[in-house]
Amino acid sequence: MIVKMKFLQISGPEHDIDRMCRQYLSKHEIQLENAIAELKTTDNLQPFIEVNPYRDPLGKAEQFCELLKVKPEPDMSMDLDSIGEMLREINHDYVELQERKEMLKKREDELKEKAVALAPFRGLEIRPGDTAKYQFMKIRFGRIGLDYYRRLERYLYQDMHAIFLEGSRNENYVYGCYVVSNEEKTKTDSVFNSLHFERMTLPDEYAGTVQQVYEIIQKDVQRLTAETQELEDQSQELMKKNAAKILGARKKLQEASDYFDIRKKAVKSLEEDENDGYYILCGWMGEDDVEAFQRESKDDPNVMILVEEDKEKYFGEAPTKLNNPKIFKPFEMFTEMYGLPGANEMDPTIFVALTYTIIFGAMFGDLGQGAVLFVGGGLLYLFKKMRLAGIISVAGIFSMFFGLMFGSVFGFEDVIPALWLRPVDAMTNLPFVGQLNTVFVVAIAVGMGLNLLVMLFQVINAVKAHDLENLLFSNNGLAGIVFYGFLVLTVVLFMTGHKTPSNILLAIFLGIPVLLFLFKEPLGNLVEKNHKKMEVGPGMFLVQGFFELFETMLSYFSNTLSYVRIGAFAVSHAAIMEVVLMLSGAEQGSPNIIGVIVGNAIVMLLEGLVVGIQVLRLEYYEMFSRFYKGNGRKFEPFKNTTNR
Amino acid sequence: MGNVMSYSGLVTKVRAMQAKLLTEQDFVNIANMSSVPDIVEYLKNGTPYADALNRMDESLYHRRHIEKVLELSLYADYVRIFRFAGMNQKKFMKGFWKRYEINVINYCLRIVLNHRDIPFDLDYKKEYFDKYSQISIDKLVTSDSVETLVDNLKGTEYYEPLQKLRDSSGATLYDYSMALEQYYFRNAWYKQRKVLSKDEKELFTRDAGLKIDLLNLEWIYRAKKYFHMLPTDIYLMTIPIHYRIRPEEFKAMVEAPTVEQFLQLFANSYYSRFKAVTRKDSHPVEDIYRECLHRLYVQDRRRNPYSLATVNSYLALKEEEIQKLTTAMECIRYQLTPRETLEYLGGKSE
Repeated sequence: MIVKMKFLQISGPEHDIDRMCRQYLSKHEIQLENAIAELKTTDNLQPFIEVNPYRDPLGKAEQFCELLKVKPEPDMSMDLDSIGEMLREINHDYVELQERKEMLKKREDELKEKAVALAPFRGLEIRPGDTAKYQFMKIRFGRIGLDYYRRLERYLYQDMHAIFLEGSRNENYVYGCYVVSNEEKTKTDSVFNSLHFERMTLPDEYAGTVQQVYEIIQKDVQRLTAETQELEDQSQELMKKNAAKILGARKKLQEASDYFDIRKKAVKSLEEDENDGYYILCGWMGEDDVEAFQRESKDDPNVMILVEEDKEKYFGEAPTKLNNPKIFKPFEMFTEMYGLPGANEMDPTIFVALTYTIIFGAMFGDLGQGAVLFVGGGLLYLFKKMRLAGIISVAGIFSMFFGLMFGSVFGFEDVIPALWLRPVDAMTNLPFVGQLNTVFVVAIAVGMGLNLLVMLFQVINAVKAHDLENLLFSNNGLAGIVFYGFLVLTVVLFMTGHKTPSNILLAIFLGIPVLLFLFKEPLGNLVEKNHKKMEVGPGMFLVQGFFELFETMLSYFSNTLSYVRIGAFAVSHAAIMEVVLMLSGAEQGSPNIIGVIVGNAIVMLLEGLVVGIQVLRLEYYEMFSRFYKGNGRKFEPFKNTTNR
Repeated sequence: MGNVMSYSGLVTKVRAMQAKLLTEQDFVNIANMSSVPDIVEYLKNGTPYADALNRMDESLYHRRHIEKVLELSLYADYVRIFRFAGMNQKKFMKGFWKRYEINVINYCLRIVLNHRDIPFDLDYKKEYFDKYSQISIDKLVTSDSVETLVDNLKGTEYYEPLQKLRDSSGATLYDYSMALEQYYFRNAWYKQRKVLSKDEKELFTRDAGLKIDLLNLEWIYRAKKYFHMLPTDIYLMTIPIHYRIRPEEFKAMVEAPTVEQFLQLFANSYYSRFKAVTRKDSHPVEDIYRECLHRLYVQDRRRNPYSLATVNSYLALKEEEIQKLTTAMECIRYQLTPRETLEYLGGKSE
C-alpha cells in the first residue's frame, strides 16, 4: 500500500522555528523540500543565513568521544548552556596536555636524530666529546662511498699519513673517522675531499665513548616516551571522568544542531523590523500525520499549517512511502530493489509477498528444511532486523506446506504420506506432448494464470494513469489479455480433450489483437487525439512492426515456458536429496546421521540460494516487466539523527 | 663443433655485412674529395649507407645530418645481428647496446647541465630505442634539469649509480659521465662476462681487459699531459680493473710526477710491444690504443671464426669506420689536403 502524501506549508514567527520543530516535527515524519526553490514565485523571501552555533561544540564533543575507550550510558541532564561551559573547561585542560605532549615529542625527535647520527659509529672506541680538545691531531667523522673506500684501500692508504678507523658499513657507505696529525691535515683533508668523504658532526655535549653516549641518549628517549605516555593517560583519564557527560553532550548537541539545520530548507520573510519576520517550511507528509499535526496545533497561535491540495502540478510528484501490514513489511525490500512505485502506480509488495513465498515453497518443498528456514530466518529477523531473513522465514512456512503436499521431510520421502503427489513420480498424459511430470504441467498452468493476472494489473495501472494507448492496444493491455487469454483457453481445451474453438473464432480473437499490436502507435495517437506525423515511411514501419510483433510473440512464449522452472526445481530438490540419502547410506537401512545432516545443510544452502534467486528472477522479469515501472522516489523524512 | 652449429647463421650474416665495409681504397678516394656533398654522392654507390642517403633531402647534406645517418646505420647493423642471435647470444649482445644508451644519457646530461637552450635532438633514434632499449626517449626529452633527468631514468639500471650522485649535491657533468662510464665497464667485466661459455669468456676477458687497460693508460696520459691532475683524482677517474698491468705498475704510473716519466714507465709495460705508425702531432699512447684494439679484433676473428668474436669485431670495425668517415668529413670541411686527411684517418682498414 502507498501512503497518500500531502504537501504542507508551515509558517510562524521566525524566533519560534526551533520550538515548533521540537514539538511537532519530532513526532510526525515530514520530507522537507527546499522552500526557496518551491516558493520561487513569492517575493520578499530570503534564506536563513545564520551559522549553526552548535557545530563547533559538537565537533569538540565528537573529538572527545573518539578518545573514549568505554562508552557509559549518556548523561542527558545538562542544558545546552552548561554543556558549553563543561566542554570549554575540558578543552582547556585537554589543550594544555596536548601542548606539553607536543613539546616532549619535539625533544624526543631531536634526541632520536642524534641517536641515528651516532649509530653507525658505535664500533669506535672514541670519545666524541673530547675530539675538539686534542691539541696535536684532528679526528674527522663521516662517511665515504664504498667504491671510493676500495680505491682508498688499494692505492692511497699506504702512502697516507693518517689512520682511518671503520665504524660500520652498509651496501653504499663506510662510516668511520680518520685521525691525522696537524701538519698533515691539509693534504689529507684534500685527499678525502676528492674521495667524496662526507663529514658528519657528532653530538659533543656528552662524555663517554660513542657507544656510551648512544646508550645515554637511548635512555633519555625512553624516559621521554614514558612521559608522553603518561600525558596520554592523563588526557584519557580526563575524558573518562567526564565520559557520561560528554556522551550526553554530544547527543544533545547533535539534536540541537539537526533542528537548527532545518533552517537550511526554510525561508524567512523580509521585514523592516527584525523581530517581525516569519518563517516558512514546506514538505511532504503522510495523510494521517497531517491530520494529527493539525489537530495538535489547532490551539497553538504561533503555528500555521497550509495543506496544499493538488499541488503535484507545481511541486513534482509526491515521494512514495510504503505502508504494508507487518507480515508483508520485509518484502518491501524487493520492491525497493526494483524501484519504488510512482504516485499513480499500485504497490506490488503484497503481490510479490504472496507469489514469492508460494513459488519458493513449491520449488523448495520440504517439511523439515522449511521448518529450519522458518525458525532460523525468524530469529535473525527478530534480533538482527534483517529483512531478507524475514522473507526467508515466511517462505519457510510455504516450504513446510509444500513439504506436506509432496510428502518430504529432510529428503526422506517415506516418512510421511504425500497429501498431493510426489514430484518425481507423478506423471500426466497429455495429447500431442505425451507423458510429462504433473508438476511441470501445473507450473505452466500457474504461469499462464499469473501472466494473465499481471496483464490485468497493467490494465489497472493504465486506467489510473489515464494511458489509453497502453490500456487498449499494448501487448500487456486489453488487446494482450484477449490474445493471450484466448490462446490459453484454446490450449487448455485441447489438452483436456475438449473441442477447440472454430477457425473463424481463432482468426477473429487472435488476428484482431495482433493487428492492434502492430498499429499500436498510430491507433494510440488517434484515441489520445495527438496529431503526430509518422516519422518513418510505411514500408519501414511495417518492417519494424513485424519484428516487434515477432519479439512480442516470443516473449509470450518464453514467459510462459519460464514457469517450468517451478516444477523443475521441485523435481530436482527431490532428486538431489535422494542422492544425499544414497551417499549417506539410507538405502541399506541405517543412514549415517552426520552424512544426512551435512548433506541437508549443503543442499539447503545451495538450493535455498539458487531458488531464492530464480524466484526473484521470475518476479522481476516475467511479472514486473509487464505491469510495473517503479520510477517513484523514496520518502526521506527529516529525522533527528540521535533518535535513530 | 657446437660453436659452428650455433654460430653458422650468425657468422654468415656478419660476413656478408663485413664485405660491405669500406676499404682502404675507399678512404683514399674520400680523402681526395673536396666537399661533403661529394662524399655523400660517393657513399650512395653501393655502400650500406646508400639507402638512407638516397632518401635524404639534398638540402640536408650537412655533416650534422650525415652523422645521424651513420649512427643509425650502426644501430641497424646491431639490430640485424641481434635478430639472428640465439637466446644467450642476445643476452651478451645487450651489453653492446648499453654503450649506445650511455651515449644518449651523456648527450642529455650535457644539455641539461650546461643549461643550453637547444632542444633535444633524439627523435631520429626513437625507433630503435623504443624497441630495443630500457630507456624511453619520450621521457628523456621532457627533462629540464638533472633531477628530472635522473627521475626519468627510474626503472633502468642507470638510475641507481646516478641517483646516488644526485643525492649528494654539487656533482658536475664530469661526475655524472664518470659514474656512467665506471658503471658500464664494471657491468661488462662482472656481469656481461657471466653469460659466456668458457672459451668465449677467455676471449671476451682479453678484449675487455685490454680495452680497459688501454683506456686507463690513455686517461692517465691525458690527465697528466693536459690537465695536470693530482694522483688522487686520477685514481678516481680510472676504472679499478687491471688486466695486463700490475697494480704496483699502475700505481707508479699514476703517481709519476711528469709526463716523461710516465712514458718511460709505459715503455716498459706489456703494451709497449705494439708498434704503431705515429703521426707528428699525435702521441704514442693514443696511437697504440687504436692500433692494438684493431689488431686484437682482427686477430680474434681469425682465430675463432665461430664465436662472438666475429660479432664483437664487426661492431668495433663498424664503429671505427663511422669514426673515420666523421673525421674525413671534418677534415674536408676544414679544407685539409688529402695527405693530411689520410694521416688523420690513420690506422688500417681492410
